[in-house]
Amino acid sequence: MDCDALVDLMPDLAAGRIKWPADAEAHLPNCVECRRSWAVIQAGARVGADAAARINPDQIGGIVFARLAEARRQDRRRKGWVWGTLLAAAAAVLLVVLPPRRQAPAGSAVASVAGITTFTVPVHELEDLDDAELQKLDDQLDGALGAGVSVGAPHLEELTPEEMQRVLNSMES
Amino acid sequence: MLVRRHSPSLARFLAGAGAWSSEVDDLIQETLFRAFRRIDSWRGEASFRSWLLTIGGNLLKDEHRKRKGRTVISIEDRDLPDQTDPAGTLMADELASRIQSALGKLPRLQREVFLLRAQQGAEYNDIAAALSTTPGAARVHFHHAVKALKGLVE
Repeated sequence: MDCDALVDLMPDLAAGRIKWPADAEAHLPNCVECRRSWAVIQAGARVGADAAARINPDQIGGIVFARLAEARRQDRRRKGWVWGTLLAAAAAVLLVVLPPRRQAPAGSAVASVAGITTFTVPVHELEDLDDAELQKLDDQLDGALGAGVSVGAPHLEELTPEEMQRVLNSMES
Repeated sequence: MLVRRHSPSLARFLAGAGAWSSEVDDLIQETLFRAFRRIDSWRGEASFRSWLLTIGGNLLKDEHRKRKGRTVISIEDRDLPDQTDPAGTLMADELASRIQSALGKLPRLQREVFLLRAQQGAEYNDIAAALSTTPGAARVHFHHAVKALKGLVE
C-alpha cells in the first residue's frame, strides 16, 4: 500500500469504521511520514471534543424551535399585509381605469318621451279611496298613458296608402 | 431529534474551525435555525450533516469578518487547571489542542475539508457536494492539509 492510499483510509481507521488491511498494518511501522500523518489525523478526530461536551442540545433545540415558531408567525403577518396591500392597489387601479357610467345624451329616445305626465300614487292609500275617487284616478291614469303612447307615433289612419303599404310589407317580411 | 443528533458534530466542527467556546452555542442555534428555515434548498447532493456543517462554516466566516479589529480574550476550559484529568489524557489532548491552533493557519477550504474528513468522517464525494468542489479536489485539499499540519505541530 502506498502512503497516499493509507492516508485516505486513516480517518476511517481512527474512527474504527473499518478494520486495518494487512498491507496497511505492515506499512505503518516502517514509514515515518505515515506515522506522522497518523498522529495528525488521530488528533484531528479529537479536535473540538470539549466543545461538544459543553453544549446542551435540548436547550438549543428549545430555543431554535421557539425562534422558528416566531418566524412563522411573522411570515404569516407579512403575507397578510402584502395581500391586503395588493388588493387595495388592485381596487384603486380599477377605480382609475374603469370609465364612469355615462349620462344619457340630451335629445335621445329617452328624452323624447319626457312629455309623459309624471305622477306618484301612494299605493297604501288606495284602500282609503271611495269608488268615485278611484274612478277619477283611473281616468287620470288612462289620460297620462294614452298621451305617452301617442308621443311621436302617427296614427295609422293618418298614413297615405303608399306609407300603409310599406308598413304592411315590413310587417310581412 | 435532529438537533440532538447534529449539535455535537456542529460544536466539534465549529470549535475546530476556530469558533470561541463562548460563541459555539449561538452559532449552533443560528445554523440550525437557518437550516430549518431553508430546508427546501437542501437538494440531497451532500449529506444533511455536511450541508449543516457548511452553513455553520459560512456563519463562522461571517463572524470572523465582524470580529476583525476586536480583541477578545477567551478563557477556554482547556486553559484552566483540571484536577481530575489524568496525565495520559492531557498528553492526548495536547496534540489535539495544537492541531486546533494549527488549523487556524490553514486556508479555509483546506481546514474545512480536513475537519469534514478527519473529524466528521465524511467521504470525498460528500465533502465535494457540500463545498461545491470535486471529489478529486477535496482529496488534494485533504492531503495538503495533513502535510501542512505535520509541519505546523512539530
